[in-house]
Amino acid sequence: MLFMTRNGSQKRRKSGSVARSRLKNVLLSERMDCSTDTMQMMQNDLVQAMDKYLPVDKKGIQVQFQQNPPMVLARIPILQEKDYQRDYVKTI
Amino acid sequence: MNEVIVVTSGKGGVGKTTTAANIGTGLAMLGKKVVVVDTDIGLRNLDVVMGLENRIVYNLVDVIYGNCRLKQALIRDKRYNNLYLLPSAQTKDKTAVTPEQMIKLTEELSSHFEYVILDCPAGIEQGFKNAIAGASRAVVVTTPEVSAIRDADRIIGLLEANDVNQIELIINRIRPDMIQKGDMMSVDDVIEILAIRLLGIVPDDQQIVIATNQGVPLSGNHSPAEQGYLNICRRITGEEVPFLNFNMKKGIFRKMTELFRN
Repeated sequence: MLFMTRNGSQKRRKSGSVARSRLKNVLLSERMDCSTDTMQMMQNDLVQAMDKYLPVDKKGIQVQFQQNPPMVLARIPILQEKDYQRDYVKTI
Repeated sequence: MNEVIVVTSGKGGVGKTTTAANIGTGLAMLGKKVVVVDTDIGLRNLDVVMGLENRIVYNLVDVIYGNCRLKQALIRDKRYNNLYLLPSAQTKDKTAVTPEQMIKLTEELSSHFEYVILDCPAGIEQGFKNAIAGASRAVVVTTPEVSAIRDADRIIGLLEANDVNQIELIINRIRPDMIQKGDMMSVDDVIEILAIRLLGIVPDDQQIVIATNQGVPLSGNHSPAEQGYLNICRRITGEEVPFLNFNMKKGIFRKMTELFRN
């Protein structure tokens, strides 16, 4: 993951915090006995459900577990109107 | 009340045996009557770490099979006459003993000793089940690495499922310089992830390698790791001891050295 530092150069995220967030995710899915495959299936179902009603950006979806309090966080971006219309036009 | 404490980790190579040897020695230094038990049947190591490998006559399996009396198998430490080792067998494997037999053995040991420290093998199979069978308290050893923490989490779950209710954490091989740079998970990060009580922290220290080479744990060199282990022992006895501080702020000296390094 990349972010900008004060002097404007791009720098890698510190490995300590990478380890921390990777561990948190893997442990939560292990504790709940919910594998990454299951997560993927859940994500696909969520998208399908949403897609019936809203133009969803399928590539930008992120589903994550969070500890304390335990919850599932889904980040589902909605396509902007112009993208949506362009898509719509293309399909015609 | 006499306590049976199992030292466990799940992952191998995080410092279980070293921790068991140091806790045993430290508690003996505090005047407690202690026995350390190597439950790693087939891969014994606690004897060499404690420097007692030449004194073994009988072992844990001999005691359980009734080949000898318990007293005949116990080896007295070279420096502390209130510290004993019950070595493991090298020729048998983990299936030589059952959890029921281990419960019986630890019950007998805890009637003679204030602290029974069990050094658990790596893994979650038969050897682990044997080691935790008779324990009322557990010390989980981990290092600030993803693999060790993941295994520690699994072990904590298994301990809880087996009614070992007092579970405490030791974070071993802390590198303050790497934490400072953000390249190692901090003590707080690890506690947050594992969510159990912290018993102590042990910095990464060459002195531990030297002490293990010599077979003399806690040799009195006042190294940071030795201090960490002594604090852990005092906490085990119920004393309140502040934790070693590795979240050091950048002082003028540190800033200067960094300036010259860059």
